[in-house]
Amino acid sequence: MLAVKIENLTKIYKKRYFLKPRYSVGIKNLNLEVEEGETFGLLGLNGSGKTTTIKLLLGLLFADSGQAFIYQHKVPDRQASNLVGYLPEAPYFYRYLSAQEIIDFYGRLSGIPEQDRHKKIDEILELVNLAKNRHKRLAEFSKGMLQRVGIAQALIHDPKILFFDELITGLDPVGITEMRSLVLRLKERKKTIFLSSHIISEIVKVCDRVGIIKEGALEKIVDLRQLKNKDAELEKIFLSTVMPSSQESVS
Amino acid sequence: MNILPIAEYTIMENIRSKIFYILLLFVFIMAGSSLVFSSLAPDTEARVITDIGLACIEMFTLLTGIFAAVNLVLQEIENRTIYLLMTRPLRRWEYIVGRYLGVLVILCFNVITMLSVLILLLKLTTSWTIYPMFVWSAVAIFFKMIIIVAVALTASLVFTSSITAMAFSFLMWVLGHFSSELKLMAERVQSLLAKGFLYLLYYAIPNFQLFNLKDKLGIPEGMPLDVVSIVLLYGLIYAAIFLVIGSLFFSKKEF
Amino acid sequence: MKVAGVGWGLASIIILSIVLFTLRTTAENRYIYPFSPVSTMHYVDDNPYLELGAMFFGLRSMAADIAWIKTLQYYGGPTEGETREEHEQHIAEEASGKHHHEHQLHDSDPTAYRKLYALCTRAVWLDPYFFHVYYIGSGAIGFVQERYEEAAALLKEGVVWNYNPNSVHYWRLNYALAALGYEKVKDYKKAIAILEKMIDPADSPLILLRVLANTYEKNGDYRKSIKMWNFIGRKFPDQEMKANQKMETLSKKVSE
Repeated sequence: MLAVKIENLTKIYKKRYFLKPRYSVGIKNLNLEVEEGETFGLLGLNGSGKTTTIKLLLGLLFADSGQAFIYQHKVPDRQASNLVGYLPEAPYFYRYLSAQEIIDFYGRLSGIPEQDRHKKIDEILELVNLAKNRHKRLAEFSKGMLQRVGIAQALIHDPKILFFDELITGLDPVGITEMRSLVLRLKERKKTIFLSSHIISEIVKVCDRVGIIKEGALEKIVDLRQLKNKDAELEKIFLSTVMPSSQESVS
Repeated sequence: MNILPIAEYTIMENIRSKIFYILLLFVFIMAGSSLVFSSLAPDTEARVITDIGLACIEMFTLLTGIFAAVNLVLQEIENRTIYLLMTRPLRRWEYIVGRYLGVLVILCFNVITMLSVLILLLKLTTSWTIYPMFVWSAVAIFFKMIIIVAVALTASLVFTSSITAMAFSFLMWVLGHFSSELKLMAERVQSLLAKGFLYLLYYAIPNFQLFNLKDKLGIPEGMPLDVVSIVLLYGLIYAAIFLVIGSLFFSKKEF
Repeated sequence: MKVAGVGWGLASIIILSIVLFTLRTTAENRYIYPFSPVSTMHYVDDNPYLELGAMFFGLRSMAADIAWIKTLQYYGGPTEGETREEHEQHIAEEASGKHHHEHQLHDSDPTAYRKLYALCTRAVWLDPYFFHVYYIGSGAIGFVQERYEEAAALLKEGVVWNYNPNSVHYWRLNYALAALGYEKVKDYKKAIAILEKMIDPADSPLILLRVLANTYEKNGDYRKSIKMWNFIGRKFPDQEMKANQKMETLSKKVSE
């Protein structure tokens, strides 16, 4: 069963600059399918369209043409949002709330009834190792702790698909290890995971398949399960996909 | 319905921010200035304290209301806290309405607090007794806020700039008190184009003067209560229209 | 689905606008705008800031209070041609009992405090229902300073704005107008008859009580005047010395 299906999706950003519209490509004619239970990585340079793709799937952006589905729901769709958990790049939270309050708040928005919510919050806070700091306000949290709050809010409603945008950017080695083991644990639970990154070594450690995106277009899909020396081979493929045009642009 | 949780966290956000405690400062300003001025006007102390007190209540709630309203959504977009909300099964209009109601609850609390202090002040310094029109005039002040907060919130969504939205809201506030003058101008002006424009302006801008029951406290018969209720209903519907417009703009918004 | 949402939105805007229009016209038809239009604005010293501020923010009632406080400060301050030092000296002399004047040194001088009428009309332009201005203003301008035309004009303004036979103020303003007329032609007996109907010692402003006491005196009703001064002295502690002086001189007149 397909968890994510993207058909000819195009997003052009329009910005008004002294009344004159200026266009820039977000993604163009993107086609992609992700199987249920699969861990899919979107690999690309900064500004290549990774975040745009995720935001389109989540309904934060609206496509100019083409369509995308989360299971059978054509996005943007309210039912689809119950199926997804999202962790944005460097998530921002309400600093005046405590960890417990914020997870409770998002759980409420996702429609979890009150009696289930308390039990779930306990479980999730235990899972992300924040049970001790649950009553502390987020203003006092470190970056790594905030990232764990981000994971907790993405999991509270037990979604089928998880979107992690730049999961480990800005984290210290301990944080990175924590996040990696978390992703692997979620993988064991048969969650579909869709993550974006520009760090090859990390993608290799967790992903089943990788899509290489360049200037808004999906250039290549690599099945990591068929590679032997994953790290080196993926790096080679990635550079050969991304480099030629950068050489062109230099000349 | 997801309006309630949104309204609740808006209330919590306000209570936990330090800005909330400016209220105390304003209570002192209100009490101090009305006492000073009333001491300068023998025979009319109660009237002066009432007028200055109600004016302070209105101006303070206006300033805090507009400021809160224009930043209500823009701030969340800027801080990117909006991402995690908009990816939940939350309708966009529910978010707007919830945020709006949350601010109104805070403003209502402010009005009630300041009004209680004002009543206490009047009781302690004069032989004043409470009367219905006094209470209604405070209710009408709150209904003015119901309108202007909706206007400011919608303006912030349309202009996506808090400064522009604030300027727009203040313009509405001023012109809304000028309503009868606008009508007079519209009746007298010769050019058909100007006439049409002035009439359009007259009907598009809320008539805030209708809500100024505090101007009529000196009149023994005050304002008939059935007219008051029509006016209050008018306020609610005006705010509702602006919220619909705001929600429409917000539903098109990308983050 | 999204297009349907926009449709619902637009439809509800149209329906709500119709309801809004109906409510507004209904309310406005039954609403009496409590103020004069801007075109009739009174300037005092060519400074309209108070008026403009009041109108822009819908705070005319409070602005009227401020205009009235300014009026009182003017009336309590130095007159034209008098410096502040001279004025303060006069007040000190009055307090120490050297002078036997009315409330102010120049009280019965018709040329003193010439701006009083303009200041009073400014206050009632801002709020035509500010009854104290009519009562106190006409008391000072008419009964004390004897500029009867100005006082009458001020009272007439009040009568026009407050036309409501059920209102006690409407009758009081008319009584004040009538009493002023009799005072002008020195028919003190009739003036007293009307003033007694108009004045309620319990809550009338001080100046009206003094007007009544003085009119008693002018009419030769010294005992009634003493009684009124006695009342004034007890009700307003800061008037006690003044009232005692008055009662002393009046007692001499009675014994004469």
